[in-house]
Amino acid sequence: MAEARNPAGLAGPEEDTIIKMVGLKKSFGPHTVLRGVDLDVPRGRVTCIIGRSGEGKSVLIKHVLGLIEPDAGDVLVDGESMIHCSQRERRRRLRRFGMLFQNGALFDSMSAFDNVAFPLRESGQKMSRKELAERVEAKLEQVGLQGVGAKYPGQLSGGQRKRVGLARAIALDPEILLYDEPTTGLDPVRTHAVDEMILNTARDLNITSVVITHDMQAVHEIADVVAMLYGGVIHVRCDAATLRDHPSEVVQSFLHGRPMADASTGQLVQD
Amino acid sequence: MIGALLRPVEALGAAILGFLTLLGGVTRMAIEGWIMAVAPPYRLGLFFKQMDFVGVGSIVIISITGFFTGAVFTLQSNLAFRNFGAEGFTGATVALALTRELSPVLTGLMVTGRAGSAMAAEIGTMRVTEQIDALEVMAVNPVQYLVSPRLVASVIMLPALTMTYNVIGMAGAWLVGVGYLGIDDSVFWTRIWLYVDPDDIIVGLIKAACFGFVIAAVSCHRGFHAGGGAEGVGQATTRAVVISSVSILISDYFITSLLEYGLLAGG
Ligand SMILES: Nc1ncnc2c1ncn2[C@@H]1O[C@H](COP(=O)(O)OP(=O)(O)OP(=O)(O)O)[C@@H](O)[C@H]1O
Ligand SMILES: [Mg+2]
Repeated sequence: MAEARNPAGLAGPEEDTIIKMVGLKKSFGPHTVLRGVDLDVPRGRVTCIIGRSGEGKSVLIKHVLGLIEPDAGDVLVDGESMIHCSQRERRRRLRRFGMLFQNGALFDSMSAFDNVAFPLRESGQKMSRKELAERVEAKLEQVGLQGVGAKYPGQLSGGQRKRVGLARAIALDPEILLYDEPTTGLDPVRTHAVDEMILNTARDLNITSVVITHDMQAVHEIADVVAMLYGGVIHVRCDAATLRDHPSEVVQSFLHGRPMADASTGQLVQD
Repeated sequence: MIGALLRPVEALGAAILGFLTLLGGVTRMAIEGWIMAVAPPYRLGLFFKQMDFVGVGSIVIISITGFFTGAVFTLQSNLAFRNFGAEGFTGATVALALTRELSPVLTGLMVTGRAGSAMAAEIGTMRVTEQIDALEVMAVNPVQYLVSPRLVASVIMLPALTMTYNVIGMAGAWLVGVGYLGIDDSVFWTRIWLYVDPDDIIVGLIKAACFGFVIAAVSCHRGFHAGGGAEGVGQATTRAVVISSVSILISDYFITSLLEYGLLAGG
C-alpha cells in the first residue's frame, strides 16, 4: 500500500519487469508439472496465462506467492525472492499482493462482509467501524454484490462466492493482483463487468495483474501480454494480437479447440 | 534370505522414524504456537471463542461423565472395602482416584473426542479448501491465527474442566455412598479430609494442563497437514483422536512417575 507506484519505466518500449520467474520446476511425486518456467511479468500491465486444464497454471501462480516451494528455480518480485527468504520477510512482501483463488477460498466461518473486511482488519490500519463498513460495501458493490454482506459462503452461489473472493482480493488495493480464473462460472454480463474491472484497475491505478483464464475473448480484450503454459514450460509469450496468428501448431490447436500433441515427454512442439 | 530377515527391522525402523518425524513436527508447531501466542497482533476474540468451545462447551459432557464415574467407582470400591469392614474408606479412595487419575485422564479423553476432533476437522477443511493459503496471502501467520488460540485455550480450560469433574464426581460418590449405600455422612467426609491433600488435586490439574497441550498440538498438527479432500480431512480427524488419546495415556504414566517419584518424592 505504502510503496509508491512507479510509472516511470512504462513510457519507453522496454518493459519494466515486476515479477520474474526463473527456471521453476515442480513435481508432485512422480508427476512432473513444471519443467522450468521462465516468465517476466511487466509492471502495471495485464498478463494472461492460458493453457489446458491440469497444465499447472494454478500451481504456477501459487509459486509466485511462495505458497508452494519449487524443486528448483526462483520467483523474484522487484529483485526480492519469494522463495528463499524467512517467513516473516515473505509475509511482508505478500502485503503487496492480492490473490483470487480458483475456488474462492473464502473463510466459511465468516460472513461475506467479514471475509472482505478481513484483510482490512488484519492490515493494522486504524479505521472506524463506519469507515470499514463503507469500504467493504464499496468493494462488494464493485463486484455487483451490494447487500449480500450478511450471508455466509455456504449460502452463496458459486459465482457469488467467486465475486466475494474478488472483493476480498482487491480490498486493500494491492499493487499486484493475481486472479485464478476470475470469470469462470459467471454469466456473460458479469463476466464482462469483471473483465472491465480488471482492465480499469490496471489502467487507472497502474496495478499489475496476472490473470489465469480460459476465456479467449477476454484475453483479447484485456491482455497486454499472453503466456501459454504447455508441457511444463512457457510455450509462447507475446501480445494478444500476435497470439491469434501465431505459427505454433500448439497455439493454433489450443485456440481452435483441437486436441494437441501430448508434451508429457518434455519434448516441445517447436514452431 | 537376509533381505527377508531384515524386512521386519526395516518396518520397525520406518515406524520409529515416522513417529519421531511426527513428534518433531508436533513439537515444532506447538513451540511456534506458544511463541506466537504472546506476539502481536493479539486476537482476543479468537482466544475467547476457543475458551468457550473447549471449556464451556464441554461442561455438560464432563458433568455427566464425572457424575457417573464417581458413582460407579463408589459402588465398586464399596464392594471391595466391605470385605474388610472398612466401608468408611470408600469416600477417600474415590476422591484420591478421581483427583489424581480419573478426572484428568477422562477429561482429556472426553475433550479429545469433542474438541480435538473438531480442531482437526476445522483446520483440515481450511487446509484442503485453501483457506490456510488465503491466510498466508493476506500476510497472516496461520499458526498464530489458528493454533495459538486453541493451544492456550486448551491448556487453561483442561484444568478447569478437571476441577469440575472432581467436584461433580464427588457429588456422585456422595449420593451413592451416603444416600444409597448408607455410609455415615461424617465418616465419609472426615476420611476425605484426612487422606486427600491439596497436592493430590494439584497433581491432577498439572496433568490436565499437559493433556490440554497434547490435544491441541496433535489435533492442530493433523489438521494442518491434512491432504486430499473430504477423505483427507476424515483421516486427519481420526488420527488426531487416536494419537491424542494414546499420547494422553502414555504421557500420563511419565508425568505421574516424574511428579510422584521425581519432583515431589520424599514429600
Ligand atoms: N497439491 C498437489 N498435490 C499433487 N498434485 C497436484 C497438487 N496440486 C496440483 N497438482 C497437480 O498438478 C497439475 C496441475 O494442476 P493445476 O491446478 O495447476 O492445473 P490448472 O492448469 O490450474 O488447471 P485448471 O485450468 O483446470 O484449473 C494437476 O495434474 C494436478 O493434479
Ligand atoms: Mg487452475
